[in-house]
Amino acid sequence: MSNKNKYLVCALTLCAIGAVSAGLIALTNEITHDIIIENENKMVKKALEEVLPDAEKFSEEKNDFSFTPNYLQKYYIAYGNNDEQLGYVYLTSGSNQYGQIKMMVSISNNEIGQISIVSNTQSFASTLEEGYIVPYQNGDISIEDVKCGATFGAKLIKEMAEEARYDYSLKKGDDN
Amino acid sequence: MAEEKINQKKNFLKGIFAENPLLVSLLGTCPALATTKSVEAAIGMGILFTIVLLCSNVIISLLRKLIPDEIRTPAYIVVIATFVTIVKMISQAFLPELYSTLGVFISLIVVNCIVLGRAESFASKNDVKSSFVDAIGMGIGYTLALLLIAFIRELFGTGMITFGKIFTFIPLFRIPILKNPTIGYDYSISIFQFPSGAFIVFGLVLAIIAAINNNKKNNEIARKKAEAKLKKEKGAN
Repeated sequence: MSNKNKYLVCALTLCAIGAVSAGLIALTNEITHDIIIENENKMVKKALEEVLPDAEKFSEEKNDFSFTPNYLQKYYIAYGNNDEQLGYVYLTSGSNQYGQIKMMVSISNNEIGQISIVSNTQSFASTLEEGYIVPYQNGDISIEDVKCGATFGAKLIKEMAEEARYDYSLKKGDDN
Repeated sequence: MAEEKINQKKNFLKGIFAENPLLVSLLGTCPALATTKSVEAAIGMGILFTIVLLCSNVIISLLRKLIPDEIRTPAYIVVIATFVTIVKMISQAFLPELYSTLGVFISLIVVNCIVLGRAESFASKNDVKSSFVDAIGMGIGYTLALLLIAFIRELFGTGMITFGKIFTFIPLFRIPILKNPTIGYDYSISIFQFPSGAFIVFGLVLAIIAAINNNKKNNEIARKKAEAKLKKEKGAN
């Protein structure tokens, strides 16, 4: 086989394999897309109930932020009995070189409350929740004492939570 | 090269014992250390890995005479990546707890040495039936190795074995062994839940396997020596 023909055969074979692969992935996406969206909505709902268990209802406010955020996606206003405002819950999403974190942060009276992870694809994900979420939401916001490898994840979580708090303080400042 | 007839039983069993990909060939150690915090996660990882290995081995074996040598590796990677993507989407849809527990390690199956290694060394040179059996054997062997490490880590790390947290279609239940909050004892050692504990367990398992194999070899050598001595004595007489 001449070189030209050999290259042509190689290119066509790779194209054919690529085309079939793309078709299979597209077909799987068609089947699973709606189910994945529904699962994500369920996780968000569960996270909302976790971060502010006293809230009776949440109203979703989409992109009404006081500045251009790096991490904030949307926020919910939490209402308790008699429609009193309990606080805000922010859905934040951020990523670094180790992966992506999506989490819900509740802010009340300008204080960071509970944090609930919606999805966490950091490669050292297993240490992040036990080692940093719990101490952080109990007021210990130091990230100096870190277990090896999770510093960047802890830093990202802190930045996301602080950005949520900043937006809350701006909104409450505007209201006043 | 002509394809020799393969003993399928040997082909299947070699993946579990003689050529176990994790404990003998030491392949795929990264996910093995990262996803063995619990028995359930290890089972999940093993099943997903086996499905990817099976599908990629079968397809690569089917296409082995059509793929030119020059583009073997990229073609195999595309095939493997396709199945990993499909498995990832299916687990995200139907097993979201498993998907969030395994995280990035599902995607990392693409670069798992076992999958590409079996594609290159076996599936590309043998028929579909043999490749299928080889994949099943290797997949079960890898899963059993993961289970062994996960069982030790979860037992010593948490004191109990938990089911139902990841596979939510089974009711949540715990088997308390080294820890029982109801009775009030806790002999668990948390280091086994950390990466350092994973290395310790993995090293210990390999050491035990090496000791068993060395013992077998020594017995074999002693037996052969005794036989040779007996033959010599018979010859002298």
